[in-house]
Amino acid sequence: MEWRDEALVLAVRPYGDTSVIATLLTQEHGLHAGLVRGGQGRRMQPILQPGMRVAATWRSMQAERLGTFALEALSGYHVAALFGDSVRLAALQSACVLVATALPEREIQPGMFEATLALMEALSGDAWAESYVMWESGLIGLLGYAFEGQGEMPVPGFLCGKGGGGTKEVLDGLRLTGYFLEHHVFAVMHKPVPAARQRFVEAYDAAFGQEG
Amino acid sequence: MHGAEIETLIRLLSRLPGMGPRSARRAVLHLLRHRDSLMSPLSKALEVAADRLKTCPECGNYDTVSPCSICAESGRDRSIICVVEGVGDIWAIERSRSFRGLYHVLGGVLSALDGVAPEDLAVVPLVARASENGVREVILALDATVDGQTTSHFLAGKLKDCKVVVSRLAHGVPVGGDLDFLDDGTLMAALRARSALPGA
Repeated sequence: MEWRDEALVLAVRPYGDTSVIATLLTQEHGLHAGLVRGGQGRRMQPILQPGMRVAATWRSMQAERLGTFALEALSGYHVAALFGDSVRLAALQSACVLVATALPEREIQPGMFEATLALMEALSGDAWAESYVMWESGLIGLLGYAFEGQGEMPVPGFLCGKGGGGTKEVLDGLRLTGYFLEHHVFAVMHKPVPAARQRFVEAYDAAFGQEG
Repeated sequence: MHGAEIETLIRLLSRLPGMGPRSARRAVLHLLRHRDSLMSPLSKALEVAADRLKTCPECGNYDTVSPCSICAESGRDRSIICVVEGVGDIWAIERSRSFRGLYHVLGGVLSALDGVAPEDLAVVPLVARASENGVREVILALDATVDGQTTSHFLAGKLKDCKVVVSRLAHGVPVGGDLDFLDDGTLMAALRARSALPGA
């Protein structure tokens, strides 16, 4: 079996001395893991960073097996552009780990790849935090939950097309999406929300909370 | 085909990085052929090292003396601490002979998916060391990866209240690097970190 697809690298784990098992969010094959031979080598390390956009070729003798990936970097944005910004880097990590842990493997999720790619591109722009909250609300909706205000947590204006945005609305939005992630998305999996997401919220609050 | 002792030796050696069962068998065969000149000295060296191995209570380095040879060396600049992920990184920097300060082994980097949290790393001892009198700089020498740089930012935040300069290694073109073969991220980092030529 073989297919080619565009993908985003989400997570990489060492396998043996030279290889890695990479988890990718692909455009047409959903969340998919595979072995990358030589993935621990100098040539592949820059490509195998969370958030990197790649062209992936997956091969396997049988469809249900792990299979191997051949990866090539695609041009466009580069995650190295975020290395100097702790909060954006935390947002990137949070998004990657949320996708890798919340989505079922090998199930096509229409629009998820495009939305996550758009987020990765937006992370180096101006309204990146609003984009992040919109992306989280989209993820929650994609997983089948009706995203709406909860008690004293209304849906921020920028999430319902009423403009606005800014630090306070972003923090309100993160509280609301955090509620859905904790009480619905991860509750049904009996797992806590990944710590990387909390680290991002804390980093954002510490960096910009005073402005709100 | 051979006795249990040799089989055990092959099995244990095959667990080493870079070794599989085939290369372990070749290594064992080589040891057996050079019993006096290699096998016995190696066995004694392993026994002595295993017996005397210590983790330095100050920096986390491995050595047979405590504190380690680097921490105990009188000629070291004690005002600079270089934070590394593992002992292998100390060995790499020492090979370069470009650093004469002290080290601090973090024991890993934060990892979102593997669940490596701050409490799994030697962060508290680092902050304690950086708060000591006489320490003026902490160099964060962690990998230029998403996890490595996330950890660097986290540590910079923890060291905020210590009266030290927090720096990190430069990212860019490696020595002997051909621009045509560099990846986009390295080129981007190099352009961002460009510097004026002295005298220009």
